Amino acid sequence: VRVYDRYLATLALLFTATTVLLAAHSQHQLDLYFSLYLIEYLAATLIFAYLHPQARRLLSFLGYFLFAGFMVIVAMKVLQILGTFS
Amino acid sequence: MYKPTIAKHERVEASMIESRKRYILLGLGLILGGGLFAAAAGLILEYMPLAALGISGVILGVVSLALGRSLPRISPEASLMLLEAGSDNIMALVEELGLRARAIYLPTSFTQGQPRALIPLHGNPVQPVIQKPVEQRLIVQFGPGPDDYGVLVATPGSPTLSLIETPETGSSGALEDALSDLLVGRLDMVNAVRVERSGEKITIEVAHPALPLRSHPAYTVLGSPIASIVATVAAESLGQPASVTSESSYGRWQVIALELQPEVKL
Repeated sequence: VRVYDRYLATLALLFTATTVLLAAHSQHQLDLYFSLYLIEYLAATLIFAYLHPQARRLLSFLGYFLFAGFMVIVAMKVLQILGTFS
Repeated sequence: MYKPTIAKHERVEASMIESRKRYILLGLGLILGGGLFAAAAGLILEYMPLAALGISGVILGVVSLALGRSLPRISPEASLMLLEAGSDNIMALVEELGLRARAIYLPTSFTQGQPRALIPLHGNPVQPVIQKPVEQRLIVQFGPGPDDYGVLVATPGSPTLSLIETPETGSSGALEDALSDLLVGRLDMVNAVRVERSGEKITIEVAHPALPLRSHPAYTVLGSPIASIVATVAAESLGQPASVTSESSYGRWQVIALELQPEVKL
């Protein structure tokens, strides 16, 4: 459980720091925040490599889900760019 | 009628349910609170950094739910309690028999079954070299000499090996991976593991051990419970008998020194 607590605390710290830093730089794009959260999530999950296998499986599912969200953002951006050119 | 085993079992289960509930409540709270916060910040206040903070809360909530679902059935505290109880029984046996020689942790190739520790009955400071598999009995003969008898015991490390994949034989990297998987991921006994190998000597450092190193006369024979697990995994992973030569702690680290016996063709 100690390792779970550390993992959650690490994620909370990373997400909060990112939000504060980006807000301080007047960033208002939600997709930028989301992309950085995804990268931080994947990095933290990679660093905590020795979590219980069942936890790792469930966290991998969440990783796929977040990545799907990221792909939606990318697709929307591409469509937006294509719309600008046409 | 009072049944201590049942009472203990119930306490263990209650503590685990409590931990699980803590993660699930935190997860649901974060998902609900974060979702509402994100919606309010995005739609009413139209301030995206706060909406993003709400989304991060939802992500943390889902992570917390996932962690709550994957908690092991027995809490780490309960595992440690059982481990200490098991160790105390072996220690009592060691003390009662007056054994003084350092235990030799044997891999399964030497025991033809579960990994075991062999404690020589003689008090000779020179460690005997085990050259052939030993029988699965309490008192075993490990060499041709008249004094080559020892006690073969299961150690805290013996059953824990079944929790991890059979370690690859040979490299200290594989040993570090196996130990991290077991001690950090499965048993939650330490925060990190470092392994350094120099010839037949291996130094293993573990960070923040859950069981602090305490002095016990029987620890000079088998090593502390953590050292015992480490020695069992090392012997199995490297395919060579190993013994704990020293244990010390500095700051938040515990240092365990192991010595491997020369490789033998079985």
